[in-house]
Amino acid sequence: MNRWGVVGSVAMVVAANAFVLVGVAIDRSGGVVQKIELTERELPTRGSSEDNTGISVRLSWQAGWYPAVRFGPGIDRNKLTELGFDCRVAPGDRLAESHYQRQPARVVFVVLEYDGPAWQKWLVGAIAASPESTEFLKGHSSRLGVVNVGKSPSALRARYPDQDHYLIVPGLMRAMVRYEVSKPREVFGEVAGLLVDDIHVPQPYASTLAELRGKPYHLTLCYGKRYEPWICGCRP
Amino acid sequence: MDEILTKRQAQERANRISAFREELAQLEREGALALSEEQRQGVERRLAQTLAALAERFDVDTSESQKQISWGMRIASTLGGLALCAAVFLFFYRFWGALGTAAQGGILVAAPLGAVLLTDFAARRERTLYFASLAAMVAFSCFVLDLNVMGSIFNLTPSPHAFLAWGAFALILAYAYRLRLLLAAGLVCVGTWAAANLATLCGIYWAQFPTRAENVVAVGLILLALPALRPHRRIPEFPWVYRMIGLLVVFLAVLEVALWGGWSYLAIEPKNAERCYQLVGLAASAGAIWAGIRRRMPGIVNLGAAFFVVFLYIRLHVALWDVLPKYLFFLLIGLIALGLLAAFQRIRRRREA
Repeated sequence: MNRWGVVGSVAMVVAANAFVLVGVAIDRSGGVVQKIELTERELPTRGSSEDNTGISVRLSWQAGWYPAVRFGPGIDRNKLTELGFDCRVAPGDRLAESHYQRQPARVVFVVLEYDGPAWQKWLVGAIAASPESTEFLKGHSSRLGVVNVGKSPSALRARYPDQDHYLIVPGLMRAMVRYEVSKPREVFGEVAGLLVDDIHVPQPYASTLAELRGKPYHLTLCYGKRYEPWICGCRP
Repeated sequence: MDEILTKRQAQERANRISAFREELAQLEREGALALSEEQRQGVERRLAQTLAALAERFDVDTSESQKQISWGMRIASTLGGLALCAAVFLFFYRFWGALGTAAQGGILVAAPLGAVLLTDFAARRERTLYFASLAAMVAFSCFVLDLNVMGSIFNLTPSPHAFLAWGAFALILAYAYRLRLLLAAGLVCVGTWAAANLATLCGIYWAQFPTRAENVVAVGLILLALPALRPHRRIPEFPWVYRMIGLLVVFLAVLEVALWGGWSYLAIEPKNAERCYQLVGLAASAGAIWAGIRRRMPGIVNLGAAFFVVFLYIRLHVALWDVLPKYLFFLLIGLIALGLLAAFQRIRRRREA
């Protein structure tokens, strides 16, 4: 028996799994940092199939791509500078596009508003831009959207204390240059994605969701110290 | 035969004996050499004893048909290993939805441990290591599945450190059982971890490490240099894997920035960065061909030649595609290929002389 090969590889498997489990325990040991109940509109299921029987939900938010209506106040050049982006090049500069494209995305904390005034305002604009989608936008589309970003989650929570309507999650932000006909060029920030947007649904909630297939549901999301989520409630 | 340490050296000796037998028979047929019956039997006895000893100790191929079967076994074990890895993934995903979190975790941890024991069992039973290599690949894929699914179950923020764990696991198995495929997998994982951490040090989110190709080039160069810093006397076939993976990483990173100039630290316009790296790629691949020929490393020569053609094509495409008629552009590429062939032939003749 190649003793050190077996011992070394077994130790590696045990150590790596212990590292994961200790990390999870630390994350959840401090209690729930934030808790929010969302619906099937904000947490649509990723369909399970014969080949993959696990169930997960995706945190869905209005990115402003379709209809092309901005959600919330937007992230301007000053905010980007505050987040650490180099915004010294003017948007009208010949090198602006390559300058902002070359800047790597940064990890920031994103404030997602749920079913609040920013969504109401966005809905009016979205219906005006795409009247044929009115029914979908009112009854089925996600009511989550980005209203602010920052480096410190505690500072953001102090500004948005209502946990039922404001969710703070880590995400990736990138700087871009906007071109619109008959408007001056503009530098803005875009949330390129959330670090964890695919959320596993464990048993027994997975069975409840499977029974509710096609019907509305409510899922409660809990977040620990490291802002990693888990499902902590499910009801029709 | 005492000086023979590795299977490769033993196979080279067996090949020399086969060639010697054929040449001896040819010389006898042509009448250039006439051995007495006693001499022929003596030589044949000696050769047969040597081959039997090599086969006994190193399990070498002693005939052409054995060699062909060995190639078939190598291909079958690689394809079989890949198929088994896919089977492990698909099997788990088919049933995991019905299991509780504890059962899922238990299966995920037990699977790689079981496959490691199977690898050890197979390695003790056969010297060729075909089955051990296959079991080690399954163990590696089980461990990849393990950490990947644990991350999904607990919704963990993606981390580059999983690559370090996978890489270390693959390297342990590779060195313990002399498995080249696992060594390659381990080097790719550890290289990814190193490049991701370099990116983090430079203020870039780790998963975006390919967007700064210079970090990846640095990792490739380190892999390339490692065999020189740490000689593998016990496993002389491993430095080849280090060199090939290192060079492949360097060439792919340079190719990436030769196509997308924005993915570089160079504070110049992306188009100029692309031009710059196209020339770097040409020079580096030419250098690899030269070094490979000098050091008699055919793998390096082939890899260098493949990337030299790719970089040359990109450079010519950028410079001439819009300027020349299309037929002239491809004619030029064809002529350059002919020129390269002639150059290689000259080098070959010079080395033979």
